[in-house]
Amino acid sequence: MTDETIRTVYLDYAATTPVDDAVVEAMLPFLGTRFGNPNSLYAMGRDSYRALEEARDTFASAIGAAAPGEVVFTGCGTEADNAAVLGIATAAKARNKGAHIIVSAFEHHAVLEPAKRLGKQGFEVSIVRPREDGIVYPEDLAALVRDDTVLVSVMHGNNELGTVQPLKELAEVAHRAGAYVHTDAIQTLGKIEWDAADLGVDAASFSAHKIYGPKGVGALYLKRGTPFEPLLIGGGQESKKRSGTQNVAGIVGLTKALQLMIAERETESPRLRALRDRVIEGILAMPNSLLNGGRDVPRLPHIANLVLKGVEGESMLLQLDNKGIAVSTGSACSSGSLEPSHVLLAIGCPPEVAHGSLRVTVGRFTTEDDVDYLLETLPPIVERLRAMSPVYAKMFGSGA
Amino acid sequence: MARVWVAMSGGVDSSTAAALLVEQGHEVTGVTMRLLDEDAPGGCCPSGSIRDAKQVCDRLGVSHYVLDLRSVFAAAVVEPFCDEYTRGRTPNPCIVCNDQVKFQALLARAMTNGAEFLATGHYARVETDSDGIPWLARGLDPAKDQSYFLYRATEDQLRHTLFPVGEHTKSAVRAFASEHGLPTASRVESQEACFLAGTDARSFVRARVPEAFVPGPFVDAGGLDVGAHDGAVGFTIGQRRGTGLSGGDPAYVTGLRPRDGIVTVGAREDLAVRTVEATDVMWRGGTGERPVMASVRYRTPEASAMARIEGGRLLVEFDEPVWAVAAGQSVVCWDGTRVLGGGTVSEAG
Amino acid sequence: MLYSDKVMDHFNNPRNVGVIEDADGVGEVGNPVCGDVMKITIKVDAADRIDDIKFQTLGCGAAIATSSIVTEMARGMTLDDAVSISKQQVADELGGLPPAKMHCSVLATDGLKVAVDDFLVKNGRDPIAGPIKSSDPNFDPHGDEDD
Repeated sequence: MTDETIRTVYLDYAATTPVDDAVVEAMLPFLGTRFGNPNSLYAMGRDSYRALEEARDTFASAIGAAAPGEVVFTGCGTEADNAAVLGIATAAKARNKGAHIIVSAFEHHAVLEPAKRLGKQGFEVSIVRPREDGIVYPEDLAALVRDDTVLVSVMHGNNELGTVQPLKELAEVAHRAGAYVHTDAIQTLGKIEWDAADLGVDAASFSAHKIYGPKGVGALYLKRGTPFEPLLIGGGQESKKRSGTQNVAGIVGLTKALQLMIAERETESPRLRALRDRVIEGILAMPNSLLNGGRDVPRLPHIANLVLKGVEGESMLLQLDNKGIAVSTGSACSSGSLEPSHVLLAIGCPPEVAHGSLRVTVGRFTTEDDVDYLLETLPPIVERLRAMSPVYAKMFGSGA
Repeated sequence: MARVWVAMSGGVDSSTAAALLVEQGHEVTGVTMRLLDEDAPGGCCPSGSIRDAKQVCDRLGVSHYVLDLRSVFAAAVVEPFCDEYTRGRTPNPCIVCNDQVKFQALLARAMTNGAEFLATGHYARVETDSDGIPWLARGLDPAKDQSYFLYRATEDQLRHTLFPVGEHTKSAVRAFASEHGLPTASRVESQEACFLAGTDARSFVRARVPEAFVPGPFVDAGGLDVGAHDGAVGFTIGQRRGTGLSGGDPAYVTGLRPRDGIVTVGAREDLAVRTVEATDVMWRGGTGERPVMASVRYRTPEASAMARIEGGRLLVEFDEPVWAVAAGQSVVCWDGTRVLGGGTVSEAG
Repeated sequence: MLYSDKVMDHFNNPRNVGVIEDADGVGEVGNPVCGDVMKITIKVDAADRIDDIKFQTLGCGAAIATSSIVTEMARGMTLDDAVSISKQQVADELGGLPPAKMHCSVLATDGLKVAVDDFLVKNGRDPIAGPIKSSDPNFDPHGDEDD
């Protein structure tokens, strides 16, 4: 590494986002003088309580909940996913509604792991596979749903591929069989229209740090009447659905962040889409590249998942990092489990292709220059890595 | 010069195929499919085969990779194999494997990884007609021709397929292998499903689907009980041995109703059929009726017949009766050396 | 997961990248399905020393770094010494590897062993490195191996 100032280009917005200045500003008082515990009876407590409930009202309306009580604040998106899957399934089983759950093959681990745990606790778990285009089809779900299915969980927007699922139709299929529907909406909140009443889901998970809010706070939409056993128990906060002194600062931040997203969405979505498409076209113009997920399916505006064949993802990532560019990869070598991305495998991507994947995600602070820089910097890196490979030329010929 | 993946089992045919392609100057990559678990009985693909194929590749100076296709194989070949038997049909797993595992799954994988062709050690050929359209054709050596097993290959698949040993006789191939220090024995006998090596179909299916074995009678054409069996699964039409019936006239299996536990037996004459109807058709022979040479079983001499497509089914009317046609087997039709197609037998009469 | 400075150095500035055209020994190990393929080519002098050595690798940061360092270590070594390089020695030379990446050093030493044995066998001599783990179809690159 030399001393020259390396330009930094952050293109991993799906992983996390910077906290917006306006969000920080909204949060600060609650990290300062307005520090009261919202459950306390005196003035400071009441002040925090009012701020908390105002945030809840705003959040609930923004997501189309019928009442503020349908919004439960959590410590993160993973907690919301865990609470929903474990909480709804266990409560429904206790009411003798059945013990069968269905999750999609490309859920985030925050849904898959609780599902696995339920599988060891007397539940039968079925997996609905997305098709190659990255979409879970209602007919494929219908083939798995049974009378004793209590919960179906399919994420709204896939965080690796960016494909958006036909959630309304999927929910209808599940409801016809009497099952409850949860969706991990962590990537879709704020980026596309999100209305609980319209979608018809019974539960949904959200996370602040994906929408320019702080880490350490999330939310769970839980429709009134949905069976639910809380994950965190103790003082009975959040109407006994999630015990623990609420993170008022974080919650205020989350709500502010969502408001900002909604306010800018009309102009921001097309802007992001255009940047994303430039990334896609630019990388597809490179030899032996491909896009993961269908080109023409519903997609989030900010996520592009592509493959450069014959190159390994972690080495691309590190080389891009040398040049100040931050992206992520679905390669095995960079995952904790040393397995390639389960999302890519779920859509039929062979492992050797998944190893060469790059996920580029654009956001609020991404400029055209940033995309230019990526598209200038990546090709020589790929050429150099392909030249270093013992198999590239043999497998693909000499085009690099 | 092309980039070719060669499906290698470690046996003489696929090893020679690879060697021929290397000699011809192609960029060859050897690939062995892992189709079975390590402890499964089977000649085709567990570690012995992988090791042998790797040695051949080392000798030829080409890369060798193993591709795990166990779940595709189990779902596409092994499960339907058992299902078919439980329905009283006689499956041909090698035909299914060629179609779904080799020429769909493996070929797609090869293309994704930059290969222009997939080659195998099959005794068959690809013939290109005057319009540049590729056709499946018999191998040069009539005694070894395996085109019967490959009839489901589509035009598009054939465009990307090479059969290097199809141009040679088996003895020429063995001689070549010997000269070049390659294995000279076959890995698996071609008539046997690789995952059965060591057991028979009946025992294999019984181990997996014991509930399908409903004991019952052998019944003759007159409806008379002539013996007993412990399950109508695993018998095949035309079978004489293995029924445990003896004495009197030879008794051939003429019909199977596994759910009722009934196996009908009869005389050889009762096995004669003139018309065979097939579904799951792969037909490149056009829409009209045409004369063909057809076969209802591997290595049964082809017989003269008229074939046509009707309502999505293939109807083959033989000039002379053919014997012991089992539902689940394939009827395949040729015009000279060219394979026109075929289908899975549903009915024969 | 953090890489040491030395690993990053060998990743960013790998030594001995390439192919020796008329190599005396060639060793290719790994599988693109696993995302890891290494090819080592060597030239051996009359005294059975590795006179020249080059590598090509498809793989992650650790894969490239371990290939690079193993070629540096092996250069000038006798064949016996070369095949005795252990994965721990490779990791130590690099200032340590994250535990999840130790299997990359196995691949690097295997590639070298295959190249050495290839040279010996081609010259009618007995191989000295023996069967290598990563060629075993049941090899789990992420399992705990002893050396």
